[in-house]
This record gives sequence, C-alpha cells and structure tokens, in this order.
Amino acid sequence: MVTARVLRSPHEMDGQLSGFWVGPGDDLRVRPTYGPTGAILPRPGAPVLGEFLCLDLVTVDEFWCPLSEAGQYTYAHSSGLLRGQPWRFFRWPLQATSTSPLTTPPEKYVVTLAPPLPPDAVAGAYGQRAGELCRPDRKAVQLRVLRLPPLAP
Amino acid sequence: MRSWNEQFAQTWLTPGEARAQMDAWVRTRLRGHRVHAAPSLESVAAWSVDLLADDIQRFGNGCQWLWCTTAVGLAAELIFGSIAGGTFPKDTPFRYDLKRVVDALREIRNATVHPAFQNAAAGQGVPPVERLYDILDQDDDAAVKELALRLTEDWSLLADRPLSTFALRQLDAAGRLLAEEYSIW
Repeated sequence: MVTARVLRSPHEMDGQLSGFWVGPGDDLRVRPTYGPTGAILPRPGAPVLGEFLCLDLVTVDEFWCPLSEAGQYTYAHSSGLLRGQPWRFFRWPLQATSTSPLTTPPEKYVVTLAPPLPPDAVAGAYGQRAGELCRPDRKAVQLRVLRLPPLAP
Repeated sequence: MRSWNEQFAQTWLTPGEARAQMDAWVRTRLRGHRVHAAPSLESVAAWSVDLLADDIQRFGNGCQWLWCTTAVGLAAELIFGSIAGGTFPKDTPFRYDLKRVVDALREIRNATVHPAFQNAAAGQGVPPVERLYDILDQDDDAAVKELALRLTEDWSLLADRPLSTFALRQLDAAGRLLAEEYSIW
C-alpha cells in the first residue's frame, strides 16, 4: 500500500494571518487542498480593516519567520512585488473552513511593498517573537495591505 | 502563466553585465584552484556559467523541463563548487537566506543527476527526491506546493515545469546573494 507522506506544518506566530499568495492573472475560487503558501503579521492590536502594515512571513524549517530583504528573490510573491507585479493575498477564516471549507469566499487583500524595517525595530512594532525570529543583520520586509470589501451576494 | 523567456529575462542569467561578471568570477576561481598549471580563463573548464545559462533558456523554451532543471543544478554546482574548487559543497559557509537557497539547489542537483537513487540503504542516506518534499512544500508558488504533495508518490514529476520554475528562482536568488557576499557585481 502506498501511503502519502504528511508534510510538516510550521509553527505559527500569535496573530499571524495564514493564507495563499495569488499572482498576477491568477485567481483562487476555492480553498486549496494544500497548506498555506504565505502569511502576514499585522501589528499587535491593529485592526485588519482598510489599509494596514504587516510583516511578510515565510516558512523556514519548522517556523513562520519574517522575510528579510536578503530573501526577497527566493519567493515568487516577494520577487514579483519587487518587480512591480500586482500580487494579492487570499485568506479563508478558520470558522469558515470548519463549516463549508471549499465554497466560502475568501477574504482578499491587495499587497504592495512598504518601507523595510530595521531588525532592532521589529520587536517594538510586531512583538517580541517576531523580533526573535527576524534576521539580526538585515531589514525585515514590510507590506502595505489593503483589505478588499466582500462582494455583494 | 508567463512564458519561460519572460521568467528567464528577469534573472541575472539573462545575457548582460551581471551574467558576464559571474562567468568571469567562476572561471577565475577555477583557475586559482588548479594545482599543476595555470590555464587561460577560456580553457579552464568545459562547463561555464554562460553556456549553462544559454542551455537553461533554450531547454525551457523547448519545454524540456527535466534537462532545464538539470542545467540549473549543474550551474549551481559550477558556481558554488568553484568556491573551493571541488564538488557541490555539503556544508557551505553561508548562513540564513544564502544557505537556504544553496541547500535547495544541492537537492535539486542531486535529484536530477542521481536518477537511480531510490533506496536509502543502497545510496548514501535519504534519496534526494525525498529531501525535496519539504523544501518544495515551503515555497509560496501554488504549482510548486502542489508538486510537493504529488511528488511524494510520483517521482517522475521531477520532469515537470514547476520544478524548473522553482529551480530558476532559487538560482537567481543564490546568484544575487553570492554576488553581494563576494562583491561580484
């Protein structure tokens, strides 16, 4: 019998929003069956409505960690954003996935690059854990995120 | 989906100053490691960054994805092997982002150039395809993420485009970070 290998789920940071990067010209109508392709970390206590700033999180081994400027070309979304491509971030809230996991429409966010954050400023803006997990020698990538209003039914 | 030419054109491997400087840097390193003779930069090795970059573009444009991915792996071995003048280094002196992309490229190279490696007991440790699962699963490209899942049962999927796309992106990132580390451009 062939048994599919279960891939590891990385440890999340408190407050992070996990979801899926959607590139230019692409769309996601249903929640993918694979795990999240990305995550963003809003400032603690900041409302995730309208426009807000976030750290860009990527998985490094078993953890979601802040992406540094040095790693921007490693990923499709961050290298695309650097080149001026329009990228979006889709997220299916947890409560939606437990009831109707595949058909619930996602929350959609339009993402652009914001000024990068020096490592010694990360903990103050995004919490101690983010400060511990970011690269100590390079600026962390910050994103400006605009949550799109849900479409009328 | 963007054409291969479009993807390729956004990397440092496209013909231009950055690629020429990487090619010259690698040739100079190789010549410096030669023990018995000091060959010219042109004759120091059969493979070159220039040659492999052209192959990566050509194989991709021809949808020959397995060859395309293999050429990326060879280019990575040439570049990172040139640092010490040996094979693809197992323990690189790099940290953080550069170590991550170099590790990914080593597994891509191993998976493509060790085509019979299925059995840990017969080879040296875990088959490289198995080590690729987690690396691919940590990517942000949906096609690569899907590949990671399907690859666990179907190793022939190494021959598909998502791995070439991923490999090219890793080589682009690795080259840029190496260039920064060694002031190549």
